Amino acid sequence: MSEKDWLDTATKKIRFRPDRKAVRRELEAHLEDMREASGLEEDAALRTMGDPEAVAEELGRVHKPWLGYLWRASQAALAGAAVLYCVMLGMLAVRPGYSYRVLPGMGLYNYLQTDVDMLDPACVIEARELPPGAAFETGGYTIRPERTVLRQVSGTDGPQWNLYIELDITLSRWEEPLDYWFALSGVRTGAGTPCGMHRMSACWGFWQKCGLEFEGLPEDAEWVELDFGYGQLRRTLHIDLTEEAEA
Amino acid sequence: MAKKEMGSTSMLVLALLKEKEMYGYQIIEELDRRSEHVFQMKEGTLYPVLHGLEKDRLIAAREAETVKGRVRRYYAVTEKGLRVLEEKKKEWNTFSKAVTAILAGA
Repeated sequence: MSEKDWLDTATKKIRFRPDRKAVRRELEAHLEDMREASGLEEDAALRTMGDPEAVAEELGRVHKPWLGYLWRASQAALAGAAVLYCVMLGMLAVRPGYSYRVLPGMGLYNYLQTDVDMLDPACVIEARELPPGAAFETGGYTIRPERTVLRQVSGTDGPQWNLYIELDITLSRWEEPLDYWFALSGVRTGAGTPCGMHRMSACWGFWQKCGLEFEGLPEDAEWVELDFGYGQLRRTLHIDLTEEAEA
Repeated sequence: MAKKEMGSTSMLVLALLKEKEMYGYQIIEELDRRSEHVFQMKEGTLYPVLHGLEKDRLIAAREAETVKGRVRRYYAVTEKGLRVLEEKKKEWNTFSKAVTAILAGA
């Protein structure tokens, strides 16, 4: 019988694989120690080790497989709980300004700027807080405008009017797949001219804030409407540019 | 391994490990030397005993690599192991005294 056969036989009744490998490694090191110290040939060394079948019986009795699997299961449960905790923490970490958040399915942290106040105040000629607009639901999400600011800024092509909207998004029920539910499907202004969208931060997750900014609003525009979602999911957010927010 | 089922091999192993941590081959050699070749333990006996003691948390193991790259498992007695060893020693002394007393009259 070769050393490999002896080790295979002696460990064959240890059902939990990681245990079997560890015990095999230990016995292998033992054999090496013995041969080195005693100068015994392989055959003689293996005879000293004893009958591998008997060793297998004894080791199999000590190493019960369910213990190993139970240990594995508890580790997996712990890891799952840790991941969930990190995801929750990531969601809670979202706040105006520079913030980090978890993107489900990607496992990455994303760097987002969602604060209207990040713009250099020296560029702002005039700023006006507007009533944020009514909350609405689409695709299981509740979208609540939290802050709406109209401001005139000094751009490279002269002064222009920008609109900043900060949204709080909550998943209330899981109804539609995330894909495209939040895509802005249309922007209209009271002056009939669509404005260009300057920035839209990624909006994923169960709870988060999202900052949208539109540049170059027509000067005579009285309202702006944003369409969220397509088809039956489409909801319109109407923002009156002539009103002032309550102090 | 329940305390009641613990045999004399386990007791001897615990007694050796109480002094210092050792790996399997070292334990066999040490038992052989100290018992003046009376206890020549087979590997097939030692490892199930060691692993049983470890499972019962009477001993704990750590792995260390030798200079030759061989990974050895070193075993050391735990607090629980020390307590059990003390109990076993008392039991053994009682038993041994009793046997000696009877044999003295034979």
